[in-house]
Amino acid sequence: MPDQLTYYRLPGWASIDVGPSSQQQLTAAVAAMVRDLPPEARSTISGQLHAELDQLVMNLGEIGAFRLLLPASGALTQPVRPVVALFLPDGEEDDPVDSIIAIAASDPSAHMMDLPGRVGIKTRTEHDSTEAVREGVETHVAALAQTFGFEASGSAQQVANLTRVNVQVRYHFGIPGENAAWLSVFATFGHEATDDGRGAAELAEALLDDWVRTVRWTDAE
Amino acid sequence: MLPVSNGIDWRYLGYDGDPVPGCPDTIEEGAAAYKKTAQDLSSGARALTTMVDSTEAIVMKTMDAIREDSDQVRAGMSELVGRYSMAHAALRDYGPALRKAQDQARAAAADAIEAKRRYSMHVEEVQAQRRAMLSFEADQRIRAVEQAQMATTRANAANADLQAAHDRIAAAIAQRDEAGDQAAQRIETGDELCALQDSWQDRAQEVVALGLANLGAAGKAVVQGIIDVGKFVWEHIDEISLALDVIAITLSIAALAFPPLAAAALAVKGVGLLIAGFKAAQLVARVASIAKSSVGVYQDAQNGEGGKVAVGVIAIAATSFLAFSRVGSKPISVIRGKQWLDGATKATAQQLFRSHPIAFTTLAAEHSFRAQFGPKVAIDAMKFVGELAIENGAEHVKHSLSSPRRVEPCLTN
Repeated sequence: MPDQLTYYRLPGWASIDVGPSSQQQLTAAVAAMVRDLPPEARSTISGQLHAELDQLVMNLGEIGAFRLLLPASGALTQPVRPVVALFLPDGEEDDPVDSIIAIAASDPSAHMMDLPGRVGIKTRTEHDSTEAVREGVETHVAALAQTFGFEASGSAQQVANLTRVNVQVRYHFGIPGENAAWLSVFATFGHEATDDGRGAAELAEALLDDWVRTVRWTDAE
Repeated sequence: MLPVSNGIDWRYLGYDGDPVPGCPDTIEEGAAAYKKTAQDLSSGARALTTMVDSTEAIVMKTMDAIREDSDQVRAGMSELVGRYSMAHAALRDYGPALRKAQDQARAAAADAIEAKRRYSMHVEEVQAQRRAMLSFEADQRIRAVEQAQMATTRANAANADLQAAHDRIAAAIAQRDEAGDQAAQRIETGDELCALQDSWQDRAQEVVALGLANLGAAGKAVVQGIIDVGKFVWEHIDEISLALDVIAITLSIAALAFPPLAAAALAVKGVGLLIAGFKAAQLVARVASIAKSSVGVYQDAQNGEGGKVAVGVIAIAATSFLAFSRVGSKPISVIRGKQWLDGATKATAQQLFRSHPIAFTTLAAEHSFRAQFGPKVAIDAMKFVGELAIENGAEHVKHSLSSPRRVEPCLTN
């Protein structure tokens, strides 16, 4: 029976164990995110990011995620930033295949994945997140303006021009008959509602599709 | 067979046990379950059709195959529906037939028991009167003869009733057997109609279809649970994504008003320009190219050209990640057609690995599961990828399933 889950970590991405050790890893991830920022902004942004992510990662642990993957190096200068949460289905309680059925029956976007030796399903949904992003950006620009002493009102037009789409991709896959060899992957990212934004989003999704294919279950050596 | 059932001692009547055993309620429940299964299979077939038809974005060979064979898949599903419908019909008729046969047999058994009791009683009476015939008194002898004659008549009548009851039991058994034969024939016919292909795609589809079919109350609870869990998860990770988006966009906007933040803004603009190069038409063309290559590789694999397959997979994996780099298409033409692990290929692969590490992880995943590539190629590929991973500092994360919260040491540089 396989007793280890293995996958490749994407270069430049942070892998955060959702749990007691997440603090240290989160600090390192945030440091990598702000590394390329101007020194004047680094500590302010890093403080804001850490405070927000800390609570969110804790919440994620409470609902059963065991790992969070997110781009760290250069994340703030990329057009898309997929956030990936990994969940191990509770094979003792439910047959993981039932989950495939459940997902297939509950989500019209569901389609079977081509994963050799495994059975899997993928869903994809998207929704407009423009309002939430505009609201957040407005607040943060105001905070930065106060910190650095510039006029925030000049940014109002840029904020008003913002468009954003949120994409949610879910993969649920594993080996039928091996209840320990199943994984649920939840990934989400936002992109501009433009052709360029959509192009970047498609590339990000292709990246996730291929990353999922690197997941394997092995016996401990 | 139970010697005593429904208060009837069948051994008393000369049977090993209940000659018409079974629980019609259970059979009728089974019939209802088969009917539900057939109905759910129809729904499953429709769901599968939707799933198969909704895979335009998937370019993998196996999904193409499913799509190409979708008519066959649907036909297979219809046959499954037919099988379960036949099973339902068979059990639907058999349940009442069994109940009727049991009722008849039990009523006849009750009559037989009563007849046998009377027969025994009258036979005993005859014996008693025969003993009375030995009396010295003439009157008593005459009365005993008369009583014995009457008792014999009653015994014969009881015996006739007993035989009639046995005949009714035998008729009930025959009716049960006939109904059973008809049910079995229907089920066998249904099974013969359902000769699904034994390919992994079909098995996977059947797993899904049968799972859909078996979605009872528990299954519906699972569906609801999945939906609920999904909502929770999306809420939380969407917040993380939103937080990162907001900070990144804030930086780019604030930089316009506050020049010291311009470095971040320029970086965003630079990436934006890079992405601007990937117009939709180019992307579509690239995806189409990947699809064609995938089919080619699959065909190579079918033809047993494992060595070329390994190289081909690198090419495909790298192609799909060209968009993430500035390498261009040259490496693809360099490595295509060359033998696995020759010097030039290895050098190119190493170069590609540095810029496209995920390409090689995809390769590894392919080879670990695609038996048709052959064990030699798979082992070589895995070994090579592992070496490259270590050389180039890629991280192979291991996660112990026995202790989900613990992280195993990684295979790293």
